[in-house]
Amino acid sequence: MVDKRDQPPFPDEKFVECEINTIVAKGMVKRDSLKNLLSSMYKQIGIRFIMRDYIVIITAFVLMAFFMYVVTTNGQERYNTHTNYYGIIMLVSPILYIVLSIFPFIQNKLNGTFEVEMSCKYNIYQIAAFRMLIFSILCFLLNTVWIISMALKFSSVHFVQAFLISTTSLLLFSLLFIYVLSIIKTLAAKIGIIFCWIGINLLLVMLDSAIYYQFLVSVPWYLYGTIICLSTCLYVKKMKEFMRHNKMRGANGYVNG
Amino acid sequence: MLTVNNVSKNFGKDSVLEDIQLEFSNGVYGLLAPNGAGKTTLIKMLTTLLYPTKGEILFEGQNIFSMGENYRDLIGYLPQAFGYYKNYNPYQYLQYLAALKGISKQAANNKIPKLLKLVALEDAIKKKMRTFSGGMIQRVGIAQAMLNDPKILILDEPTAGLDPKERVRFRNLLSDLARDRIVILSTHIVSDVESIANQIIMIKDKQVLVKDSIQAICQKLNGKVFETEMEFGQVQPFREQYLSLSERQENGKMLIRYIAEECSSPNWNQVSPTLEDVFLFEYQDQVMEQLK
Repeated sequence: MVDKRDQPPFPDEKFVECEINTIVAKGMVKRDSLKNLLSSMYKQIGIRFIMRDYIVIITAFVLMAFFMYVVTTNGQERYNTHTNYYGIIMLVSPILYIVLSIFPFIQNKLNGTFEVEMSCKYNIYQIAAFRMLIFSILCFLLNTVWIISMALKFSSVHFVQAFLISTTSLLLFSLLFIYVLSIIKTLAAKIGIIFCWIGINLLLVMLDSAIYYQFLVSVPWYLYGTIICLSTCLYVKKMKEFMRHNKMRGANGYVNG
Repeated sequence: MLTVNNVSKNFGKDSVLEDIQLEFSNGVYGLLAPNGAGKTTLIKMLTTLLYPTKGEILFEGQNIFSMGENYRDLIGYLPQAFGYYKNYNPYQYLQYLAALKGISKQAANNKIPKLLKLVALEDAIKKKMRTFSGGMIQRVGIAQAMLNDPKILILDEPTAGLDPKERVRFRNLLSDLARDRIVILSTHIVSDVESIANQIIMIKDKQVLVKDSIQAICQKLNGKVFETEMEFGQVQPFREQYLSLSERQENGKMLIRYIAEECSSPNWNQVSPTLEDVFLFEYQDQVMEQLK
């Protein structure tokens, strides 16, 4: 029989609560903010390896800028019929983003480096998310410069309208693409969805340009504004989730699980 | 300690592994099974590339999938098909992977030349990897798996493409590394693990058939492995009666190593069973199928 005097005194409630809080605080995984996640990735990996394929990035950027220059300088304003520049802006705005975002996945597939890269501390999906954020800003800037030059050349192109269309298109696609990366397993399906987006927009421009033009100009600015705000919020939210989820699990797990 | 707790994996309706129960502490573990037995699936779950359909994998009591990047920080992995960027030289590629592993530039620059020397690639440090042979690529793969000085080293068919000299060097290297870490080596080549593994894990019919030391596994066939010489004409009927493990021509006769329940002739010499004998015995159906 144990003597009661030998037993340690039972701690008071305040001490117990304090101990529980300490255990919970130590046991809980601290959730980093998106800013902290990006900042630690930037510090540890460095821009040299995040933008490992910088030659491709610069080439794609220059080609797109050249394409925009050609469209602007060679385009003609017809007074009888509408050239659907808004439709073209809607179509072209996310293309550079598409190319730059999908490229590492294609390269990864072709070289068979997926498994090695996915078993590292920072995996390809986390890096892809980081890059996509940079590319969306880069594409936004390039598109804005293009729209300014279009608005200066063609009286039928109004800067605010074109800006809203371009930004909506870029953000909607960015949002769609990050969902595609989270849900779709195969590269072929990812590319398929990209082609669907481009194909639908191209068809709308080619089939009945006037109706598509009417539709794009009839959407009120506040609706464009709402779509832009909503897409931005959802994009950032999904980006956070995407980075955290992939921080936890391998991508095979992410798509299989 | 790494613990695999009642893990099962299905791909759609197909079950690949069922109720796998394993424990790993420091040492070399040879994961030995024929192709298609589920070795790579198990390895992919241990590296968080695949999520188990059922069960959990724990490291020091924590679920490896919850540990996420903290777990991946502890592992070194060489996949079965080691991919690389053809325009990179091994130094650049290892620098890139070191960055992904969260190793600082300075630490990587110190470590990479040592690792490349360890795998005898110090003379090819600045050569483009597109010019490398299969063995050289595999050695880059081994070096990258050790970049972060991993607590758990997981190697899937690591000796593919290595010549005999490289294999010996590789085995010695693993024995040395396994003193203070878990090394899991998946292979279907018995000689890869026979001399270095502390324990052998065999997978059969989607489950762990055996996990034990080589001596203990070989005990299973003690007194059942024999060798005898016979005329060539007698070989075929003999094969139909007994499981032939190896055959070679010697002095105009055929020397056969085989399994029998008991010694039926004074010409039969009882020999000590090897791991290869047990492998052939356990997987005789699959081996025969592959030979056809």
